[in-house]
Amino acid sequence: MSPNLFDNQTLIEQALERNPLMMPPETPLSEAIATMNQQGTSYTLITQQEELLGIITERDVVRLAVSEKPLGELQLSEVMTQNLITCPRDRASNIFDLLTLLHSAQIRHLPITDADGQLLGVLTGESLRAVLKPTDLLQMGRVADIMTATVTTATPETSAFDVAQLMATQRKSCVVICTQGKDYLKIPVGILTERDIIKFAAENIDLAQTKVESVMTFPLLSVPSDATLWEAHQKMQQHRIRRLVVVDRGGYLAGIVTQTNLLQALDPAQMYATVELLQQTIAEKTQTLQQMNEQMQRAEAQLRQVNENLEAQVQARTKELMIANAQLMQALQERTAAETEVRHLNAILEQRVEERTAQLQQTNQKLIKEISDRQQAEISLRHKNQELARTLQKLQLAQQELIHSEKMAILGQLIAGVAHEINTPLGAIRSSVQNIVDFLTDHLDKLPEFFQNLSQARRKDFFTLLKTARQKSTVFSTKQRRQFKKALRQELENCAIANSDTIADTLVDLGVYGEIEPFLPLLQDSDSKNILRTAYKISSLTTSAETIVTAAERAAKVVFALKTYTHDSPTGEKVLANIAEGIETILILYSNQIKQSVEIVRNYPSNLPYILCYADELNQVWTNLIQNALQAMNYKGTLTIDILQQDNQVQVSIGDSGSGIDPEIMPKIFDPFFTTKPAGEGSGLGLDIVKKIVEKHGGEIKVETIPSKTTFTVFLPL
Amino acid sequence: MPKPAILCVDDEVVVLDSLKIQLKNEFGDNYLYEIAESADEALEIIDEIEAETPILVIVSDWLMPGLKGDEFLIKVHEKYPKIVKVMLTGQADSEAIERAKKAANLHHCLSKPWDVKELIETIKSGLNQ
Repeated sequence: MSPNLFDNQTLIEQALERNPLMMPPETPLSEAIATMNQQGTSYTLITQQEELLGIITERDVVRLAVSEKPLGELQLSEVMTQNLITCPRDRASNIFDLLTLLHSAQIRHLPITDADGQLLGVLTGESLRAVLKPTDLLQMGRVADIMTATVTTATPETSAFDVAQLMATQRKSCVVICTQGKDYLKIPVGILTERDIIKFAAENIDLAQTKVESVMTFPLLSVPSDATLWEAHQKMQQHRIRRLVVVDRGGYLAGIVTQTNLLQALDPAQMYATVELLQQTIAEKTQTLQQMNEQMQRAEAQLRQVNENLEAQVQARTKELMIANAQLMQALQERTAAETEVRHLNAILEQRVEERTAQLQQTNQKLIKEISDRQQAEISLRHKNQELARTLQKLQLAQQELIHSEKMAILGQLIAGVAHEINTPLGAIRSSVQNIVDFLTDHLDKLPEFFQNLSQARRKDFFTLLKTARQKSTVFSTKQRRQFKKALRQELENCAIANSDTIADTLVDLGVYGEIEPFLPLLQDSDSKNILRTAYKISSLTTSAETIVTAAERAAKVVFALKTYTHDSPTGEKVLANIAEGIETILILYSNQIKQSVEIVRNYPSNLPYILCYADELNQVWTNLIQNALQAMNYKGTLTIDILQQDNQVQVSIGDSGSGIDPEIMPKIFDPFFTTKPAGEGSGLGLDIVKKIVEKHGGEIKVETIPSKTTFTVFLPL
Repeated sequence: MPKPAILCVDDEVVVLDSLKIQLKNEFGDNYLYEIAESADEALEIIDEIEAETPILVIVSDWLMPGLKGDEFLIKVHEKYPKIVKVMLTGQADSEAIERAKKAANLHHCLSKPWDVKELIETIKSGLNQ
């Protein structure tokens, strides 16, 4: 504890008047004045049951005295100042604060209470001044308290002489120069002192001719009336002046304070002690202030720290919040967008569900219909399937028929040849038979007579001729025979035998191709014509008979070939057959087309084995290939037939010497209905059927062609 | 004066032989009888014979290797329109016969096997034209 503070408290305790004069409110004013005068106190408190109601001071009494009110009739309660300013003891810690309070409230008495409001005592200006050191007064005293209020003044227009006269007459050391304000208030603008007059005199200034405003001290240094004496003192010291004009708050002249006044207010002897106390107090206050300052600085630092932290936190938090806010906003937007989307989707979905449901219902109905349709379709499919199976059967049958009909087609083409082959020998037989019958009918009965009339020599010649005729060679062609005939005719003419052309012809028919000398006697006989004719007729019997034999064999051969060719295996199963024999049969059927200009080259052994096969179908293969070969070379050239047995297979090649197959049609030749023959001559199914038959035997067919040599080769497994 | 000729064309010698016998038996020494085994051969000798004596009748088979009967007769007809043409065939399609009738003035077509009387009558009717 600071001793000064302790002193401060002590000073307040000393200044506190603990037993002030107290009177009830009904006390008559006159009684109160009497008691105050008797006790020499400047006031009395008005209390009732320890409650402070008001106060009456000397100043109130002076005011009441000049108010011409009848003092004896007044009670305290009527004149007392109510609503007193009071101060609790624990707040009244500083004597200067209390002085300031008294000054600012313009009161001279301050009741002090305890914490409960109970009156402890009264502090007054007097009591405080009594405990204060004189130096304190400089601090506590106001200029207004000590100033001289009666100031001699003059207007600025006044002459310096008149001002000096005023100083003299009124014994003033200075005159304040004022301008006139309102309500007779004066505004100080300058000052003129005795020293100034002395200075003017010394400078010989004509005072009477000099207006004071031109010489007065200007601007005027003034002090407010509520300034402390200390401030006034300081100002005078600073400006080295001995007086200050005092102005009130309005700036109007209030009075004047001089060094004399200050000196009168201070007892110089006590000044030092007061100053020391004040210095101590200041030091104490300064220290306290410093401490407070330090505390405040620390607090401020802490606060700043806290503030910074807070700011940092706030910034961070703000940042977080902003981010969070942005995120939230975004989330919200997204959420809103999503919700909109969801609502939209929901609507679409609902619509779709409705549509879908409708569709599903439709689909369902369609499905039901489709199921029934399908069931029906299945039934009709089953029907169709059965039909197809039947059709397939029919097709298979048709294929068989096709193969058969192709066979028959070839047969049909063969018919020309075949009919010819049969009709030709039949014609020969028939005509031969007629020849024989005619002879027997017309000439047989004439023979005995003929022979009777025949001479021995002519009879010999006759039988020689018949013998020659019987032995005649049949190898000569008509061409050769014609040459023989020509030669004979020439010979006969050389021998002057008439009718040479007919005789030569008959001789050749009888097998006489030259060497006519043996027959010359006969030919020169008068009956030669009859002899020759008879010989020819008898010879023709032989010829006819031979023709019949030959023709019958030919016809039989053709019939046999036909029978073989058209033969159908009754069981449809494989039979043992010889390939070479089958080919030979076909060659017989084609012999008519072959014999004149086609040379057949057979390259196969005579002892080929019999193999299990569909013989008639294979014959169809050979027929097709041989027919194609013959047509390809226009029935002129070489037909080569090779049969080779090796490695469990038979290889049959049929080649022709035709112009070859055009490479362009080569890929198509096995296609059904492909043909190079004129319409009506070929069905175009030949090679297709050939291929099918070969494949039916598990074999294959190949073709090689170059100009002048085309070969179809069939490979058949054994 | 050489005798006129009758020509028989057939690829079968037995047929030619039979024909010649029949013709000879019927017509005897009145005509010359020529035979050929193919149309080509016949064409060769026709000019030769005609150089000496006219050919009155040609009896030709139809189905022969090489030139067919109708084509052969048409060829002959172009050069010797007066020759009587008779076809004797075991098989001939009607088109071929029609062709020969139109283009070769075919006198008659006989089918094999033929009747000798019919043959003779045909030739005689031809000769009497």
